[in-house]
Amino acid sequence: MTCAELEERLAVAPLDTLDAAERAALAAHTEGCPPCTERLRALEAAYAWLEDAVSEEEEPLPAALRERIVAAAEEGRAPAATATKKPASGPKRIALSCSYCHGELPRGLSAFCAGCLAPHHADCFEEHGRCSAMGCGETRLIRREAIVAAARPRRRLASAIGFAAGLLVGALAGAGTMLYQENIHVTYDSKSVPIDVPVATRDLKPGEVVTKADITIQQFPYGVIDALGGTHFAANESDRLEGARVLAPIRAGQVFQGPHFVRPKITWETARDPLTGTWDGGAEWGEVIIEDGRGVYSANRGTGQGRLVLHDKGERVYSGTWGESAQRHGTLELTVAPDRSRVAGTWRAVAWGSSGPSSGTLAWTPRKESLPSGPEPIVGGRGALVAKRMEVLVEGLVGEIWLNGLPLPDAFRHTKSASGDARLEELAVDLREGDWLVFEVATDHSRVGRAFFGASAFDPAGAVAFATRSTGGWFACDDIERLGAFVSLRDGGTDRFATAAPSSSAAAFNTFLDGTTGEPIWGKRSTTWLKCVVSQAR
Amino acid sequence: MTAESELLVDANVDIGRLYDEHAPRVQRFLLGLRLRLDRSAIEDAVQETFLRLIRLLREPGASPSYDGSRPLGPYILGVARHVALDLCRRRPAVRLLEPHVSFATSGEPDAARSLEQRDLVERAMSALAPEQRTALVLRHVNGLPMEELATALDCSVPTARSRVENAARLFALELRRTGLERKELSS
Repeated sequence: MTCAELEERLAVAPLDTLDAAERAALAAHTEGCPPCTERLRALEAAYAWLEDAVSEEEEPLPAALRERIVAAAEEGRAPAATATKKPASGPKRIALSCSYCHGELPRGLSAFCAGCLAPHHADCFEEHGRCSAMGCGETRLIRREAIVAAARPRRRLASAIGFAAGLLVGALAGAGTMLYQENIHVTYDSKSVPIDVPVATRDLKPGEVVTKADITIQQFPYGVIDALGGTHFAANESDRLEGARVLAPIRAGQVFQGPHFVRPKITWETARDPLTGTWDGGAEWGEVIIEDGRGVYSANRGTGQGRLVLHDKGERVYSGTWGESAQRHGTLELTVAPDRSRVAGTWRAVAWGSSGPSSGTLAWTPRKESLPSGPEPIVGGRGALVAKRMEVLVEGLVGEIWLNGLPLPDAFRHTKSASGDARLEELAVDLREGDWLVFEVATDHSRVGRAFFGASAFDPAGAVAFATRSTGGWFACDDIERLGAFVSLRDGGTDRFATAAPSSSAAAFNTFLDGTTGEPIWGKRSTTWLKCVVSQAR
Repeated sequence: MTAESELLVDANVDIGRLYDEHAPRVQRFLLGLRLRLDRSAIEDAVQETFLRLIRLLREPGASPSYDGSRPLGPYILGVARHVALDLCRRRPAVRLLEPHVSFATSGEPDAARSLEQRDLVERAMSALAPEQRTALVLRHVNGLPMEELATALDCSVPTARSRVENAARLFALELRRTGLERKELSS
């Protein structure tokens, strides 16, 4: 038989569906035909890779999932899809989108499943024939007019503005929650797309009024945000975030561990403006890093979680600039009590949203354990010069880089080359003994286990001073809760070494970074933070 | 597929036990499809599979129905297959990302080639229609024997065989088109 005649059989051979005679004929042919043997080998390699990829990505399913399913079986009906995504505590953010097409669902068009109240476009519901919420299957639909008519007598429960939303989301989120509509502005690539959806930023106590919410979403220039599974954002495939809808709870400052690198920064004002009130380390706060009399206030830079990290030298008045954008630009003065138990000060914002210049005072009493203790923090630049320049190769993306706890300005970073998902960056930094660098790196979720990060630092003579290794000097952090200390303290989070990236990446790494002695590393998740503490050249 | 074949269709099915035994297989199936789902989407799909299963086992009139005489394992994968197909219909086709990192030009070919090949395999997978993908993955990743594959695909054994072989042929063709074989050959 000729190669062409056997081609079809060859293609299905790895699936083991051939009978004995077909297998024998194939074997007889490939034995004397190196090209066909080679093709069969390549095909088998492709199939083997598919299996490997699955094994690499396989993770134990969370116990909560099993509990939900068993509970649903016991109840005889499934939980509403939205309810299953509710976290045990913390701020809640729920918006309306059609359960079927996940499209935007203006209030006027909303209709609800009669069984589980899942919102739908009426025509989507009809197209699907039944409720599209998981496990529901109800075939009857409640249209909005009917709800409004039925609910009108109870209007006193909700404010006029958030009435319909409050009714719906209140039903889903449980009693005792009052919700209000806010105008959400999603900024993406300098486009500001106002979308009008009812949103609850968090549990609100009766009497509290949310007046404004700004969400800025920064996404690196590739990827499909839709691949987040619709759990956090859904965006049009063609236009990423245009018409984005927030679908699930979002914590302030949350960094999404999605397949792509999304960093929402969220600020809001309430009638109880946190900046003019008393801070209690609630979830909306970021960190303050104070060094050499300069205070840098950074709100929700992915390091939220109610952590105010002080990096100080005892009692003094600190002042400086804070913020990263025009909207947040301003000054901040802080006084830190000698025992570090209390921070008080004033702030003045040049512009805060649309409200123009404003100012106020603040007082903050941190929980004691949230303050770093121990020896005086090391300020960079004191030790002996170890390296003048660093090259960083990442299969994935490098986001923020912090040097000694402060963001490294873009001016010090230079992308030398990029190829596919790989990037080679050069950092023009003096690295001295005792300095520490933190790299925020991310990759596509499906490539976790293949992504790598490698770096080499070069001394003034151009020789490699030190490089990435998994055996010491380089550390990884995958836990957002610990990121504040990891970034701002030299010794924060140095209990976990970075792990070696797959050996397959080592060759590419060594080829690209000429003369390096390092090995590629990574953390555990798709977004991870890697840190090196500079010691003597090694 | 072991003792569960003796289970009857009734409300007393121990869902917890079924879940423990079959959820990992459902997960493998979903991962094998290379749909670029993140963890929470995978978990949602597993959940939906089991919620549908509960409904199907309780409503004998439901389709595809479970006749109680065949092993439940492939039937559950069949339910997962429907969940996955629904997911593909509901989501717009995921645009292919640019070819994976290629260091192929830089002297050291091995690692770079392996990265590149993985990407080619993913692209070839994504060129298959969802029905073809599911058949291929059930056979190859889940390792179903032909009878069970037929149960999962809800068709006869000869039909199942021709479906999975068609998928394999397309897969091979696509790999060839994107150049995996050529690169292999030229090395």
